Amino acid sequence: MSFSTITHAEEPEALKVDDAKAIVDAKLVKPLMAIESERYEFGRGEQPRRDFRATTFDANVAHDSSGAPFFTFSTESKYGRTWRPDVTGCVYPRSGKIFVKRSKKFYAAERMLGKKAPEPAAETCIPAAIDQT
Amino acid sequence: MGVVRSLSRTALLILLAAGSAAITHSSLDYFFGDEVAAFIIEKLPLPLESVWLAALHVHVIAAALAFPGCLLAQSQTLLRHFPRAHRIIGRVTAVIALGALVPTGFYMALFAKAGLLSSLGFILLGVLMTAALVRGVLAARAGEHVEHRRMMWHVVALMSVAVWSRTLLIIFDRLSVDPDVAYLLSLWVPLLGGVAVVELLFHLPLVSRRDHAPLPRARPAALVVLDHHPRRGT
Repeated sequence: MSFSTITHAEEPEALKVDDAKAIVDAKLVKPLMAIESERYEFGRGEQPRRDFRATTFDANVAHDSSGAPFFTFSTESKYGRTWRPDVTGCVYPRSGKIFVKRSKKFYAAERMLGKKAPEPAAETCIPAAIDQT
Repeated sequence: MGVVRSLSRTALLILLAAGSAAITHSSLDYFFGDEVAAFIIEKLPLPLESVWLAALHVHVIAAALAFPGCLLAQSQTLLRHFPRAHRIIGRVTAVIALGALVPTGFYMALFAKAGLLSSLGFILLGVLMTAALVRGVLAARAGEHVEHRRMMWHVVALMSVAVWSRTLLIIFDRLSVDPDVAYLLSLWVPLLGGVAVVELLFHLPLVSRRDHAPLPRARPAALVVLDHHPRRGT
């Protein structure tokens, strides 16, 4: 996934990709694996993931049309002994909110954890037009 | 040989009943609890989520009733000693399957994982089950007991796809088979395999004459009284 990076002169503090990784790890990876480890295998759906990890964080911060900065990332899940690509998503380090993409649409990551969550705003995870000023 | 066959049949029915109970148990998450089940999450986004959820709920309840009913109706003990109960269970099961299980299955087949081949598999499953149930009921009414039994074993085989496919999904996951390929194989192998096995059993001389014996039929009360009359046959 590749998003344009916007230069914001008035960024109050430097946003680090490591912070974004920590949020994804704490709010998505660990809770999801806690659920998966207890999930019943005898079902028609996907088998429980053996493992789940966030990969390929975009080191550059992007901004949506509201000006909120976010990082994009990809994930992989392990089924059996094989790692396979899973959802992509974005994380807003300031609010700590994570969104994942399914079929061209973003959802709050809480839905992946089985929780109900409101629909995200239309601009969520979509980088605004490039501003080179 | 007859004992082995009888034990095999009983073991199979118990195994399938256990599978049916396990499926029902694992489906409780669709009804209870605050969290959305993983099987539902992976389907998102759905065009009419509430309709699909309603279909899933009806399908699960129908399966929880129809599958055990179908297995119970296969009981030789029930058939010999309580033929009326056999008929009632059979009728109720057929109504549930044709009125709820199959129609909801058709709708959910449109959104099946792994694409068109998967959808076609589930639709074929529903078509075959409808055909077997209708033919089986007509055969019973016409007194064609062997044909009735053949069709009902087809229904058992088709319903048991639910058990075999879940079992195969676990095995394929252990073998790291691609999830979509695993899903298709887990559907089509038991579907076609079940049909083939039932046809083989009824066309090869593996089924005893006793198994093909006519079913006891409901008799008018007057004839039952005559049967027990001390001067009967004199």
